[in-house]
Amino acid sequence: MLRCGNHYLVFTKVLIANRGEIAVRVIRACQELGVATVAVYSDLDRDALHVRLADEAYALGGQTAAESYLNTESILDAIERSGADAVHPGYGFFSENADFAKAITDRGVTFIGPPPSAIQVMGDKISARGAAEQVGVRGVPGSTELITDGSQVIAFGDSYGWPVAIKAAYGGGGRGMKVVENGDQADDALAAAKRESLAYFGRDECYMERYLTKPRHVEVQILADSHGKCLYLGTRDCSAQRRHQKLIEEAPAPGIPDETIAAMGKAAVAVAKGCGYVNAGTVEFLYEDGEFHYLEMNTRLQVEHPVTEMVTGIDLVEQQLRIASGEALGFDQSDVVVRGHAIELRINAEDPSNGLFLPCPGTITSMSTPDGFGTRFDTGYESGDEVSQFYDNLIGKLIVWGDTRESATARAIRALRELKIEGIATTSPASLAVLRHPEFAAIQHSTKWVEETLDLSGISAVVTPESTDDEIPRVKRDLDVEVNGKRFSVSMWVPDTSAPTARPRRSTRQRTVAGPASGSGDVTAPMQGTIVKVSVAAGDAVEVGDTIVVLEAMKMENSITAGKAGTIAEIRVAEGDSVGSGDVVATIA
Amino acid sequence: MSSQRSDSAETEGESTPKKISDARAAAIRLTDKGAARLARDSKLHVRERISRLVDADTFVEDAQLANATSSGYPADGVVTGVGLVDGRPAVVVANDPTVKAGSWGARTVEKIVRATERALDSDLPIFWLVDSAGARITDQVQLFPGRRGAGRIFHNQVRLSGRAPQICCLFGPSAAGGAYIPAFCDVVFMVDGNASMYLGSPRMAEEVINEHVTLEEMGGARMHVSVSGCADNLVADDAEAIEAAKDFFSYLPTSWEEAPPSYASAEPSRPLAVGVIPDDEKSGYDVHTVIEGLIDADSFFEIKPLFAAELVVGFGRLSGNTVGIVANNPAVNGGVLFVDSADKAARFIWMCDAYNVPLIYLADVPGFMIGTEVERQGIIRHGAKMITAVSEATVPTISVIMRKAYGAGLYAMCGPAFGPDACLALPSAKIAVMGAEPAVNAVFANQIAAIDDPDERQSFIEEKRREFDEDVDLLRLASDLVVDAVIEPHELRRELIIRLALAASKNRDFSRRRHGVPPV
Repeated sequence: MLRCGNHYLVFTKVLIANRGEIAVRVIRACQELGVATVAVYSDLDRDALHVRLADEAYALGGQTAAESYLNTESILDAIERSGADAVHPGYGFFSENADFAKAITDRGVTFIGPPPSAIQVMGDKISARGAAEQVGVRGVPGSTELITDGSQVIAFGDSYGWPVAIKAAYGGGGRGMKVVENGDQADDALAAAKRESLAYFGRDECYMERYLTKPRHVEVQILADSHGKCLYLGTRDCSAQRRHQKLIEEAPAPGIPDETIAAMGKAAVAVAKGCGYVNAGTVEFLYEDGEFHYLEMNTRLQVEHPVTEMVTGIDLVEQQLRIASGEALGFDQSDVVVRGHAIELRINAEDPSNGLFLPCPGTITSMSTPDGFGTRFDTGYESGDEVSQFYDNLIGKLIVWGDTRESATARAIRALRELKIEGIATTSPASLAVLRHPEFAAIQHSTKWVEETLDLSGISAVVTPESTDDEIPRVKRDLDVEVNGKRFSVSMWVPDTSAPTARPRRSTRQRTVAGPASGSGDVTAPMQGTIVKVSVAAGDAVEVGDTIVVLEAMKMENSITAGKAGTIAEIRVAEGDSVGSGDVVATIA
Repeated sequence: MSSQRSDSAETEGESTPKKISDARAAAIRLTDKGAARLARDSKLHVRERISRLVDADTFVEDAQLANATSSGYPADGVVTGVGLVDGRPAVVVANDPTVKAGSWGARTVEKIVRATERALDSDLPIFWLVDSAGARITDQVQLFPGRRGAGRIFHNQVRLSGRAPQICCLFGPSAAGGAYIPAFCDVVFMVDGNASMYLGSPRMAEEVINEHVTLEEMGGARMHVSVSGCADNLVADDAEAIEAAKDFFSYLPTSWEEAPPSYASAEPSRPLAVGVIPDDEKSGYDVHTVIEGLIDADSFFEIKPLFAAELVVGFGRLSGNTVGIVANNPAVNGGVLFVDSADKAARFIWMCDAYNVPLIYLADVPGFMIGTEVERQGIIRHGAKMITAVSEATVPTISVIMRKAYGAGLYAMCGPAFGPDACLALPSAKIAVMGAEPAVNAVFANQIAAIDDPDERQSFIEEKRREFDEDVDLLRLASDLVVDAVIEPHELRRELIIRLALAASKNRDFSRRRHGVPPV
């Protein structure tokens, strides 16, 4: 056992069953606690940063996630061979896999995460909702029975609030859904919803729920130890997302009254305790107009955990390790103080041009990351590393802290401008567009905002295969100058005009020569077929490209054209004639 | 230091440093006679060609002093080395036509062999700047038969094929054995009027087979780019050849293990609209309009535009990334596939697959040509060759049925059975064994003949055609999962961009074997 601070950790060697920035993050925390680290890697990650940083590394083989980081057998084998006594799953891969957690625990190796039973309960939407309801935490209000009459809608709206969404019971994808703003529209809307539902899904049963026009995604970080203590560590707002992928996260969730935050925190703790949760977890809510509705619980460390660390000063990975080793939390709810504001920007290898967010794997030819006060960059890559198409394309996370949301935003913009990644496109132009948007500043954004409101049409992520595309490298030149009769020697950085620059886009194409130089007066059939039309007569003047005859072959009509300008000397075919390839159909003099 | 030694050198004849600097000067000097000949032929000096090809101050030359002990053989007639072409490394082999008409001596061949070895060692592309009259018969024992004779060049070229691009600019002759260098390259640009390629010269043809023919007819640039298909694109002069070679290279990676470079995206100059493709399936239209409506503005680099023009192949960029396009062109020969069009497609598909260029097939094809003429040319084995290439390609692939896809035409254009990542249809698509008209005539020939009344016969035919059309109606095909999606023309570009991006992680394993035995 290693002594660390005032506590002993029961394990001495941790295997990190993950890759990229989160593996690096966990390795760093372990090293600070004096625990040995074991990395695992796929064939493609042989030289990855997490492998370089860990004390030991084991190959999993394979390229795809299924062949490597999701290969239970290989990982169990690496645990066996390395003698690791605990496994940190990171996020993704095996982090929310109860079977994997159980397989590890069965071998007497500690799984740094919640007990498999909690993963199981929260892994299924229905049982997760049930578990929350048991402790009095509810999702978006809705009717469980089908509606038959407009008055039911009015009663529901009056007690739970407007607007109300009427949804097709057998539908999906927004079809057959009607949003009712007030009681007057209820009858018409129900009739329309039933009609559409019948048309699309063949059934007209409908149910209703409260409709959130501009919901925000607000989540609560919790920590629970194995001695029954469970605390909440403030909120995070992850509303800036597209296709359910988060782009920007911040802590605390801005513009929410303290008492509401406390109520959310207590609800989150209740949900966690209700399912016997231990370790770090996140309870997600939808928030609108001062009300919050339970969404789901994530039974792992979240990608966006650093923003909570920045505002609370609590190292979440360290706490995970301590909790897993059986320690009790060394602080109470009253010790958790949220100070200032933190923002995280996810830097993904995706091209955000025109809002498409297309994956853009490739080699990072150069990467220069920002630093300075309040700036943190968590990454699993360095210059020269390859972002593989086979894994999540998160390159890194830029996290900033400021004493207010405004100063954090300004710092984020400053840091983002310092971030230089070349060789591949990244989402950073989209992040910049969000940060600079007045609606983001005014906290008017919602989970639908990036897709529905944010205009990314002008955004382009120029990919530079060479190290410099538009910047000419500079070289130092020493010059002697004379000012008011006195000589000075000055050093100047001037553009190095001899340096190679990237090739401009293709400019030339067949510009000076084109077309076979037949120039011959003989007009020939290019293929076997039937003449269906003769377009000219002897004596007619023709230009190059004029149609002489139309040949039908293979049920297609082909215009046979003049190869030179002149006068038609002779027409040798008539409509209906069969011709072979190379036959002369007309001559031009 | 050298000035201290020069005193004694003057008294004892030339010192070694002096001899070397003289030899170096001689190796790069363009003689007055050479300059006059280049001017007459509108050619650039070999060193000017290289300086236009490579980035400034990046070229390192090997064996500049080859054959320096004999006079009149600067660099022994070939400049070889490595430099950066638009920032990426490449081997350069460039004949000097002012040195014995660019002919090959023993050291010329050794230099070229070494250049190919360099490319093989590092998976580097080769730019072949060819302008050579052939071998010096006087050196034949050293350069022709042995282990490191000229055969080694071709052997190495074949081994490099598919590992790194080989790009050829043909500025002058490329005769006899030398004609094989372009043949093994991925692309050949020929300078109109100057370049030629042939195994036997017109003089030899006259002597041996009594054929009277001009050099231009025998192996001129226009003949090769439009008839033999041994070269790809015609260019006006040396400068344009080098520009074209660099343009071509910008679409490809430096080796098979890399992805092609990406550039900034640009919307098409004229987006694809409804109405570009006529409803009447007999009408032709120029498929270039469709291609240019899909890819980034001004990004289409057509290959072999003058050869088998019923099929269009070339590189374009979709959202900045290289794609290979294989498209039937109904404006030429009805878009029917011939022997040459099948060959053209097969070679292009193999090249795209080798260099990680995703493929887009744009199909509007009545099928393969029929008739005795093409059967005698072996259209079956040529069609089989194209289908082999289509089947072997493992790069992300989307096939688009624009209008007709009849018979084996559907197969050759990567129909659903050939494993495209998606087979998309425009609303104008028609997929069938053949068109309604010939199908009804074929199936009901006896019944049609048995009807005497012309009106009755016509209405019988129309009824059967209607039934046939219903059977292969696009909605029916979509309903039976024949096509993966029906896409409106204006949405096709976006669909292609997203589908290709999402197919990027495709597993490219093909099969475990030495190689197939493809029909050729």
